[in-house]
Amino acid sequence: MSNELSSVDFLADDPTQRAPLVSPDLEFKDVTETVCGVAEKPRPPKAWYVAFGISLALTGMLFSMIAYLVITGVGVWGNNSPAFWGFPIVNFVFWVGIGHAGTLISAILFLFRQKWRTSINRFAEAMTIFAVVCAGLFPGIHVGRIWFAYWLFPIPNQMEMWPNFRSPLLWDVFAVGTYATVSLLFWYFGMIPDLASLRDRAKGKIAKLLYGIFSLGWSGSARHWHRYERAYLILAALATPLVLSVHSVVSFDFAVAQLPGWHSTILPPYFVAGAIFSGFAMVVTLMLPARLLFGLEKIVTMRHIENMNKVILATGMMVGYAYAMEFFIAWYSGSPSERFVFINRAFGNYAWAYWIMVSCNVFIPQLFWFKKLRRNPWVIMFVVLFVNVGMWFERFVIAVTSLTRDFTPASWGYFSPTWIDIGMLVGSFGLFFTLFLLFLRFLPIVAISEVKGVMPQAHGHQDGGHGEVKEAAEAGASTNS
Amino acid sequence: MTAKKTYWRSLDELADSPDFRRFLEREFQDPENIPPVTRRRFLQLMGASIALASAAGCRWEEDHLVPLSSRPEGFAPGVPRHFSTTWDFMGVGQPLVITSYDGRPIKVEGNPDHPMSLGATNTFAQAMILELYDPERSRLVLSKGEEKTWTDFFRLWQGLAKTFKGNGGEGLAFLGLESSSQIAAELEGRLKKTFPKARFVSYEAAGRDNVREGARLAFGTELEPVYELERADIIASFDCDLLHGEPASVSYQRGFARRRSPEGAEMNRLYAVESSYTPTGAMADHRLPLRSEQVGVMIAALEAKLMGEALPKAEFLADGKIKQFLDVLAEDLLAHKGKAVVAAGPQQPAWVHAKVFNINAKLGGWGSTVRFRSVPAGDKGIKALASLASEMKAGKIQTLFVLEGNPVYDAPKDLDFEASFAKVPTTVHLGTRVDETGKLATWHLPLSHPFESWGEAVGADGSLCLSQPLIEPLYGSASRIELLAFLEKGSWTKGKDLVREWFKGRKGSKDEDWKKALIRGFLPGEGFASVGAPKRVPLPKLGASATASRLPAGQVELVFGADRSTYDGRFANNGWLQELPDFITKLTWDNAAFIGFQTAKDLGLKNGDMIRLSHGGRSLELPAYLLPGQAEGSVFLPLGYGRREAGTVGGSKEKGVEPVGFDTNLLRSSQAAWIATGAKVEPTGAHFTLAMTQDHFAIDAIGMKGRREKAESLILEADLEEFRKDPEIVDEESKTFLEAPSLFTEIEYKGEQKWGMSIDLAKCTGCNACVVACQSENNIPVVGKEQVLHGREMHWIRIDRYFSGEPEDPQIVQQPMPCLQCELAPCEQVCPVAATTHSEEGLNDMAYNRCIGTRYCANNCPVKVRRFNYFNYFKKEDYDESFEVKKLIFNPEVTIRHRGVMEKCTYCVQRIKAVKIPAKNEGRTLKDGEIKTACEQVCPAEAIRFGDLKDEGSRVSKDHSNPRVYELLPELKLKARTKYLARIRNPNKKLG
Repeated sequence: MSNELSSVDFLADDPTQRAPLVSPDLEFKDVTETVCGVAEKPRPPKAWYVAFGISLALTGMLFSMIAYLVITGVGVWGNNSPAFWGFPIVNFVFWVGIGHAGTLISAILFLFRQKWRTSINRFAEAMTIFAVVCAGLFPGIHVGRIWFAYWLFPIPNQMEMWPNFRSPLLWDVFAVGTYATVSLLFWYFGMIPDLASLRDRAKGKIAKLLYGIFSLGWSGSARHWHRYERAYLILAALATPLVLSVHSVVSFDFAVAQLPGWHSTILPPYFVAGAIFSGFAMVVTLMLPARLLFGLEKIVTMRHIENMNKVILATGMMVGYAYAMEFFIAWYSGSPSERFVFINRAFGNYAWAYWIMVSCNVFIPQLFWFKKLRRNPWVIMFVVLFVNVGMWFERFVIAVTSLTRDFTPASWGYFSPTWIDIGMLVGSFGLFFTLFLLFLRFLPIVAISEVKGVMPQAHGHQDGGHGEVKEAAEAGASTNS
Repeated sequence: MTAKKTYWRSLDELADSPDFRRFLEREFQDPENIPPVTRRRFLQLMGASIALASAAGCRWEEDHLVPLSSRPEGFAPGVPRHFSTTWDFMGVGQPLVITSYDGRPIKVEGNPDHPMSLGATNTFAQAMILELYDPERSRLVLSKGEEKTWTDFFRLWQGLAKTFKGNGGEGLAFLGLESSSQIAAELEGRLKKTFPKARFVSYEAAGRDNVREGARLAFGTELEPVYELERADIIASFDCDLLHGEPASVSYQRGFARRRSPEGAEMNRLYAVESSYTPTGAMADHRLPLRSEQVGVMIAALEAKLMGEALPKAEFLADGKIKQFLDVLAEDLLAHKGKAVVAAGPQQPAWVHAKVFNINAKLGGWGSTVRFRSVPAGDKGIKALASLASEMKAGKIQTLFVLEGNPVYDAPKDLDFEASFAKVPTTVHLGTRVDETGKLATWHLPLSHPFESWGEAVGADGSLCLSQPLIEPLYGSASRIELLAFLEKGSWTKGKDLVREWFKGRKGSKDEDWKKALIRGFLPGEGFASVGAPKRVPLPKLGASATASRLPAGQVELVFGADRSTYDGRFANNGWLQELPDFITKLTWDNAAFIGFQTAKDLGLKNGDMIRLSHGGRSLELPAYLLPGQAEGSVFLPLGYGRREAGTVGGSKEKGVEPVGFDTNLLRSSQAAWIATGAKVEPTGAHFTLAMTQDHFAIDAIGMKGRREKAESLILEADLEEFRKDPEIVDEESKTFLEAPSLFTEIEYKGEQKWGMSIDLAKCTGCNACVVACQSENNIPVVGKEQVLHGREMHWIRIDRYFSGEPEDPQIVQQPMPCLQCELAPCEQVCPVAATTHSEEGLNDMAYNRCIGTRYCANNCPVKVRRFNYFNYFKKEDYDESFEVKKLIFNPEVTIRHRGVMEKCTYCVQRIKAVKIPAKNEGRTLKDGEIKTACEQVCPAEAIRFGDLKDEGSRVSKDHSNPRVYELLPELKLKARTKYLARIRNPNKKLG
């Protein structure tokens, strides 16, 4: 944090006064300048080039590997019998989980009037979209005959064959498809006023044209604002159940199967909590360096980060509770298969993976109980990185331990990844960061109009007294001034 | 139910030692000790191409090619036809029936009319079809690597014959595999007349010299014992894989298994004394691990006991456990006089066999449970080979014919056969492959595959079995009798004419009789030989190690034996057999030194650790396999690996393919060809990755415990007595699960039939015949060692094997596992594209062309019988010209699966349809047993039964209401159509 900022104590915990959501010394103009400035600078910071170069190279590697996979066969992975699912499905669930935070921040926090969300929601939504892109990639290339993957969709066809509606994989197609669509709409829709600001400020022809097309002729009229706010609310309401449904459905891939360790009713809530947990960790992972890199410290304050850390702590505890409850239920069920699978997870041949998972997801986030630690950028980075690792391992543990030691001991096995498996996991991060860095460079990375709406200046009077819609409209109107 | 047993899979896991923990850590730190996936290897596996301008150019001119434009009478394209034929193997004719599509043989079955087969075969016979279509078979007459023609060879012989006629055959020798062919014997007899001084020797690396020599000692003539196990109440097998390794094992298995269920005739009891665990040992009610050199002493002790004499002096006989075993066995045998069989294996020395004959005579099974077959006379075995080799070395042999066989590879190494062979000026090798011998010989002649040639062989029961070709020779090859006839007459005679001539001498010249005989496949022969009382042979002087309870540290005995996959090496280029998981070890693609638990512990060995074995001045390094139940101080070395010139599957120096496995012949000498005592063993510190289909990964204590509990519920077994008292095999809890209402609306099966299967664990001997038969019937690919290491083997039916008890002396249980065809199939529900669904008849069908390969079905299969095509295992473009030959093997009724699709057992749906459709056309109902799945048809033990559950009289319906029947994993309520019958053991109470 810069010295200048530390003089303004917006982290004060004075219960008699509502702490400001963004730095109080900001003006509307400053917000616009800061955010639009990122996209308008002739050159991004050097660090951006370095990061983009690496990400693009990794993306290239990912797609080369996919080409190799398609030409050769899915045997290039470590998948075997009995571990018919390996890294691709683990990666899929991991990325879908990451993709959770965006919609949660945008939609649920919006409905709950959690105004602190405004500084981070654009960021989180963008992350959601890109995580879903990465997630969507894996089930697509995971199937043995990629060229027939479209049979998963209920398209009327000459074979007169419908997909099997009893299969959780089909539910996945709908759940992830819907989630991706609504998230994309929500993200884009929220961006329209800000895109109009960029359009209005743009100097280059191409920028003007492109921002002009995508801002859909936004003029900032009261009627526009009225429609916009209504639609945003409706989309938020639509997106809210999706936050819960998408990962519940993803968890059905496991819960509906009858494998011990998969076949469990705790999986949907456990997966949702885990998804929020990992999603928030990823937002913080990205936000911490980005706010420094693009000078957003006044808009995305330490309080925002701290709030997210609290969510991480809470959801981490939920995940920990789920881990414990799985053991309890395994014992309480009296089923020998269930008991075996959980003891095996913790102490069997994959114990190392299990304890990585528990350490990263349950033990390490406990540091956030301490205010000092949850405000220290280094500690925060340390924790969230481990949470990311831990959540990947959670999916690995669930998928692989149950598969490799199931009902018939004669067919037990062990899963070892190949270099293609590892390369594709790393490559998916490359794809994610490539998209994310492009977003950072060319789009409004903070919701300018929404941030203005939560600044004290937008209210006119400190006591408020206006309705939400009007406040926002005023704030928005000023963006075009 | 019996008291709970402790099941485990391999020794490593049982040893929760600090060493072992370290090993585990090592393994988990570095899970990548598996070689990386390479596609190159599996693409080579069914053999690579040999670039030849035209294979068709060297075909024989034949007179009955069939032009399909005018269809001959009785021939319908696409309709399979079945032909009886015979394959001469292990010195006896194996009666077969071959299925042929449009002149293309594709599947081997046993001849159901022949008493030695009754429709069943072993793994080797099943795999013979793959041998036929191996593109690496020899195609050309070669001389020193140069392409020649048969005419060139004829000229050569004309020259040679002149010389040898002049000197009476001095310096002429014939060496070959053992043959039971009477035509060959006649021709050889005539050759002997022409060349009286010529040598005729037959040699097989895994031959039965000791048995014949034993008979010579006891009866003065060479004989082979043939047992009638169906009549035997008590069977004692001494170092003998009676149910798998004998020439007539197919019939032994059948006879044995018929007495293995509590419903049938009184159950037999099997005792086994052996150094290495064999499938026979796994079926034994009582098994005693004993070093092979001690087994003979044990036999002598048994003989003494039965005769009421003093036991031979041996320290180990004083051991309480051994003593008790001997006492109980002797008592049990005496109590079942006339209904007892004692057998010894081919690695036991001749005097042991002589004693076994005496014991059998004493037990009065003569002519009933024990009979004898006469063996054609001639110079045979290692001794004959040794004397020939010394003549060759001395330069006394000018011309040597090798008529089948590969002595350069498999002759005992002290004979220095390779060097002697090279000294002979003219060596002519007749073989199906240009193998080690073929490469070294000055002339190589391509031999016809048994399915390409006319011939005859004598069955194990003395019957005369006919061979007829199923296909024109693919490459310009000749059969052994054709070549012999040429050598004898100097002009070419067709095989058919030779056989017809022979037939005329026995049955007359009527065409009708000839046709009838060909259809049936055999004629009654002379039958069994009548023998008198055997002479008793004295016990030879025993070495110190033979009587000692324990061997000094670092000293072991080596025992050699035919491998259950490659036999003596002749099947080394056979992908089906190389990839066949051995029933006991679950090892594929390699051999290893099987070593006992304690011996390995003393040496600090883990599975796959390399050891150096030395004996007789030679040494060999190969991996150790810790085999539970292997006698301490004894190391079993399977023959048949480490081939340098087998081909791209088994290893080929020429093509740059490393040999598969290790050539254990290097330690074999003519003096100690079977049991080599006083060998040294030491660890080398290196490690070798062995590919097992079970227990590949070391297991931790928790996994072990979990497996034990699960295996207890998967395999139900009981002792006969307990079972008689309480025939309720299935416990109450399981019944509750099964009777619980289903959450689903269950599918109603409205088909005309309800197909079902039963597998009798009391009968299954784990012979693996079903696994290869299924592979042949269903076009199942071979994937290679790397893929097996990755757990991607493709067998539709596998045999699960679990150990229980102490690692030094464990019991084995086995469970064949095909798709269970669950009515409430977990796989069907989760497939997103509905590629696997149920038929009206209750088959869990797999629509390959609908499958997109999500593999979810396999995850949800509780018994993991679904197999996934991770790669294109039958990729045409990689096979080039050789694929033209290889593709001939495919069963046209079964789809070749593309990469990316799931596959699994279908209950041989093509076989169901092949019977059902014609029956419908004829308007008749199906008879029970009319449809046989491939596994059922081949099963020598009759352990697998398939049929209609709607038909209350069907065998499978009866099995499903047998008190022994149980369903796997009742808590899942699969309603599987395949049910198991609990294993019943018949232990002697006195042995506790």
